[in-house]
Amino acid sequence: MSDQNELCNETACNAVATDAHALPTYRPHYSSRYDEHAWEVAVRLPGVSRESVSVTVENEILEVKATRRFDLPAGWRALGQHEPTQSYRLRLDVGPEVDETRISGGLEDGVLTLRLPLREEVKPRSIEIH
Amino acid sequence: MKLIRYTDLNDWESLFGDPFRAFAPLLRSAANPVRRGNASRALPTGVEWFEDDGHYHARLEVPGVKREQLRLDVEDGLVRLTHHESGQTGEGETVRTSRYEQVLRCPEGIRPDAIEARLADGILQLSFPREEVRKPVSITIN
Repeated sequence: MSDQNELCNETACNAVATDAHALPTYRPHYSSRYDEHAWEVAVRLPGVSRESVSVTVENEILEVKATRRFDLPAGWRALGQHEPTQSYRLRLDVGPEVDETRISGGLEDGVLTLRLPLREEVKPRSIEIH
Repeated sequence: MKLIRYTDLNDWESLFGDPFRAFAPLLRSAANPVRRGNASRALPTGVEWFEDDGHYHARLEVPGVKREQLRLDVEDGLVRLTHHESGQTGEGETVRTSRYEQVLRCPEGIRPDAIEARLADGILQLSFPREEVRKPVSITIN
């Protein structure tokens, strides 16, 4: 198990935060590691609930989008700046070796963990010598 | 999660003595993170502050932190968060531990014995009840 390796090239798209709905958009912190079967990516999304996360893969680009919403309870006042809604967006170039149909994941304690299995044909294999 | 009163005052002084106090004016609206120890990963330190009629509230980002890994100590107007995590790596050979600390200055005029904490979705919310304001009393002269 290799740990904390850079997953892959971050796409240039990360620098562009031109959402039509003009929410403040942040690129979340993430870490990744891999073994011979899969990449595992952990994305930090504090304050995000499960239903506001979307994960898509298109043209070898993994995109994680999430919305964090905290409406002030009655009687609360913000001391300093408070944005009730913030959005997170992370785009990672996962390359052709990930099997897009078998991606799984879960959100726990504000961390989204994604498992991106590799295609069978790219897994290392040993060849018997006769 | 427990709030534990931290009693070793000398230790506090050695850790966060005068240099830390110099930041006090800034701390009404901002956290002052103090990182120590052998933390193998840094946690984000975003803090937002709120108030209502009876409380101040702080919301801190602590993604990935579980209730049982977090300890909160209150002493001398400071809340110290200690996150301790230990786990085995994939092969079960190595035990990895990480330790992270963050210190937050309590707002003025709160009751340190009644601070409440709740943790959900990677956000720690601390609520500091304000001391009741002593109302002015007029004394009738007989």
